[in-house]
Amino acid sequence: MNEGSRRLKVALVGNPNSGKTSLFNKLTGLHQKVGNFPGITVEKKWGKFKFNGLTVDLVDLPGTYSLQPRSMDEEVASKAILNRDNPDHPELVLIVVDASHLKTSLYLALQIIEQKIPAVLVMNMADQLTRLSPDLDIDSLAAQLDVPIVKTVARDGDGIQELQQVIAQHELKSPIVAWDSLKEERHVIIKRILSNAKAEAPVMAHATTQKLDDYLTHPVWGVGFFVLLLGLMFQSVYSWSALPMEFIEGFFSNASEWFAASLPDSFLTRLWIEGIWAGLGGVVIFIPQIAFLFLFISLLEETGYMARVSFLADRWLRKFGLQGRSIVPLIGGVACAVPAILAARTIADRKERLLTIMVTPFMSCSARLPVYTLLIGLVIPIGFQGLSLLFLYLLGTVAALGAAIVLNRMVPATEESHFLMELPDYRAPRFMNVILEIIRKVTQFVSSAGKIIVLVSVFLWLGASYGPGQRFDQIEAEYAGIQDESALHQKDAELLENSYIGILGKTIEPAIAPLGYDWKIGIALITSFAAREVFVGTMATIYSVGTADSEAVSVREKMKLEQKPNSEEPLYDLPFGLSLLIFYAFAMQCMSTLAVVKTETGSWKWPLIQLVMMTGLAYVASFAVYNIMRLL
Amino acid sequence: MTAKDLILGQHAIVASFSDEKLAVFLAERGVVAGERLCVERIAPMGDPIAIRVSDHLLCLRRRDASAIIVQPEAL
Repeated sequence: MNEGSRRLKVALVGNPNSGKTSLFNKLTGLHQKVGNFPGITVEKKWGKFKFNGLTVDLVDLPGTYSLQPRSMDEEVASKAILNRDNPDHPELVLIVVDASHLKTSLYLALQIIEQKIPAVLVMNMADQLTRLSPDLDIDSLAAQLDVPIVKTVARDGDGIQELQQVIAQHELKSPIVAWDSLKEERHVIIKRILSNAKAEAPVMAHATTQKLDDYLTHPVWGVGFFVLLLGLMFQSVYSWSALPMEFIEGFFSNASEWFAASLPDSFLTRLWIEGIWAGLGGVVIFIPQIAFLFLFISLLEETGYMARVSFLADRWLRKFGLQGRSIVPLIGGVACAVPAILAARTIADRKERLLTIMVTPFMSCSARLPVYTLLIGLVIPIGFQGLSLLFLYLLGTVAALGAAIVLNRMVPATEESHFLMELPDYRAPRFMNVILEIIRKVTQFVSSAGKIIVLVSVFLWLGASYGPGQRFDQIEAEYAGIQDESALHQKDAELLENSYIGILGKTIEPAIAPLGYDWKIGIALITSFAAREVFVGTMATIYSVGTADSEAVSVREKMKLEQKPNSEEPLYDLPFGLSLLIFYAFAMQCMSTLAVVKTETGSWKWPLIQLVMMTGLAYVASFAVYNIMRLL
Repeated sequence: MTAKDLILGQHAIVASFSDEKLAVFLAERGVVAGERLCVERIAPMGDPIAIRVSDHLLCLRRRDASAIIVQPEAL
């Protein structure tokens, strides 16, 4: 093997908040990928970089305090280190320690070195040393631990080159362990090592953090600030994403007009425009909202504020069988339940984690927003529209907490739950970390939900464009030669009614008629089963499949014109609209979420319970609302 | 006396633990016998609490704090 093709498997290990991810981002830049560890959905980040002819394959293992794992996240890290047959078992470990938390960080470092795996100790946030421990003898520390030490400030990129140099020159020699953790407790060993290296023992609190926490963890100001921030966050997510969404919509409709004009009229062209392209548009339209929401969430995480929110919320959420850390999935659920449920894996307690996973999909995700927008615009009078939207979000939150109370009674606790969490010092967020996190989340969404949406869109188009037997031919023959516009509309409606999807919609009509829905809504419900956001697209398809005029009449306008049979009244009136809004607020209509819940909980039992619980509640609530509104 | 009974701002020395499992958990985060700790923050409704111990600020529930037996210092 020549020098140029030398490869090395390296893993990053460290406590949460040690700056591991910053380091990973600096080392790999954009040459990184995100996926899952095999068999479980713990997020796996890996990437590579080249240095002096050496190619380093770097994996970022989830943050942990110890090799004795408690959460799924921590288990991944400990398995990779302890098990030499693990595919992620590294040839070299980069142990990331936070210079301002040297004592705590060394606990994990000692455990790793005891495994005699070649290692480098990365002393991150080394700029803090001049303030906290000016006399620290790095050479002594390195000699005692028998691993090279590199000082870095990953957020500013300091020390990254030196680190690469040390990795490239590492002889991959196992460290000699100069202590015996069976005879002596590790914290005693750490104390001795640190005092030999002249490290200052007591560490003073960060003054700015203290001042900020006086307000931000205050029972009144702290809670007030959080509520205000949340309001500001949602307001910004909606107002900022409006423009890019409009642009994306315009781009997709212009492009499909262009396709229609320049491609020959054939099966493939129609499949491309009305199936695949329309489906892609339905995926891309979500990117602005998801990106802006994760902009906020990753800012809150990066600055250390999210830990304060968990601290403030724990007592309150515990009443519902949840815990402080559940706040991250619950807030994240407003963007998309899929990444939000993944965020629940930091919850060590099995029951609290399960409950968080089970109720998070009740939070009104961004996929419900287009449905809400369409229906609110259709049936709610102007002036009450914003209020209705707010009400729907509250309804989702109430449902989530209510479901948690019920599940809390039903699910037995296997062990007492603990809630131990570090409140890290506040720090300024790093632009690159935030941007890379957004890219990772958007990629996750496009690759998981995106595939399903496009698939459903194609399926839907096929189902709406074809029917069984000779029905389509008969209708075509009936209308042959007729050019009258209203007759052509009549023909389109007949074609749709007789398509596979129309027949399916009619089949379920008796089941949904008590909720006030007709077979067209039935079609939308069927297609929404896989992903609720296809509702709007389905309605668009139902009302535009085969329309001769290319005039872009919005779906809402078309739905408004629908009339009840033998009457001038609009078909889609207030009782209908409210019933459907409630249905979409509660129902479990997301295959991606069900799939994630299955992998996260390890069985189909929980996603099935979720499906029955949510959709059952949706049916009952919509039935009640529709019939009460009818009586009024 | 346990860490649960400390008032805001009060310092104490960790003496021992009444829950073995939790003791390991806490040791990994630097809470061991002989360490000095201080209750620095209390969440709304009095729970959880945040203690400054070893080199960081650790948040834990009152019930977990009651497993940390401490020797309080005079105020």
